[in-house]
Amino acid sequence: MDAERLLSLFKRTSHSCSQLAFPTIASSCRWIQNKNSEFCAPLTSFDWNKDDPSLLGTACIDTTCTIWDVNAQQAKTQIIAHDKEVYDIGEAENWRGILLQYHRGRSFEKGYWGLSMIAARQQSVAWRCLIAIH
Amino acid sequence: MAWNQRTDMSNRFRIALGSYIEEYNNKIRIIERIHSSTSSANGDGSLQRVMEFDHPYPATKIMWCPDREPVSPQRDLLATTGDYLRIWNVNSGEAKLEALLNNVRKLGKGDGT
Repeated sequence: MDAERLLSLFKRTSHSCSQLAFPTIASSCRWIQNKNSEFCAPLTSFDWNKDDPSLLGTACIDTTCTIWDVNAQQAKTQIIAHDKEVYDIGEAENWRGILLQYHRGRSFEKGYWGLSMIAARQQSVAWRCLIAIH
Repeated sequence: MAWNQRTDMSNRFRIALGSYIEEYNNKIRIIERIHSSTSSANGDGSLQRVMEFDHPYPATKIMWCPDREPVSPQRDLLATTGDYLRIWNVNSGEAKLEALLNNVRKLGKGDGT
């Protein structure tokens, strides 16, 4: 998925489809600041757990990654992955590890990848390690 | 685009496709290879659209449920992301929305790090 185009659509539709109340890019900063925001930012990608298909993780423009319980239809864990938009997510070991793409870059040179180890099965999220490749 | 994951189906050649138009009229399409009576054993057959349903905001990703065999034959799940996370049940020739999950940000800046 081309992140630039996703953002562009996001920006344009905020004006043309007011009933859907998509905020603009500028206001996306508000979601980052305002935890009580009623807006939801678009989800950029997700990954479905192969060993336990009840678990699914999504990556979001609002900098969060959420692990969902598909059967219970509710969020299980949410983490702030970075201070930038998260563009991709990959699951490892039942969500004990996730690989995230943070930055808006399209290549490794421009992009920014991080490996975040989280304890997604626990209520509180603990970072095990954070590796950033600039 | 996503390939079928199930191994228990007689017709395993199945793909889910999402359109990407920068408007609110996007679709999800499911394509299967249909074997005709004249097709040979080497797997020839035509590709046919077996289902199409609306997904107004373009799907940023599509995945079939990674279950090799479904827990119940009535559950044949497909997930999409875009404005929401949606779980679809595409059993019996129609797509039924099983769940519409809204990614509400619950954490403040600095939490969880």
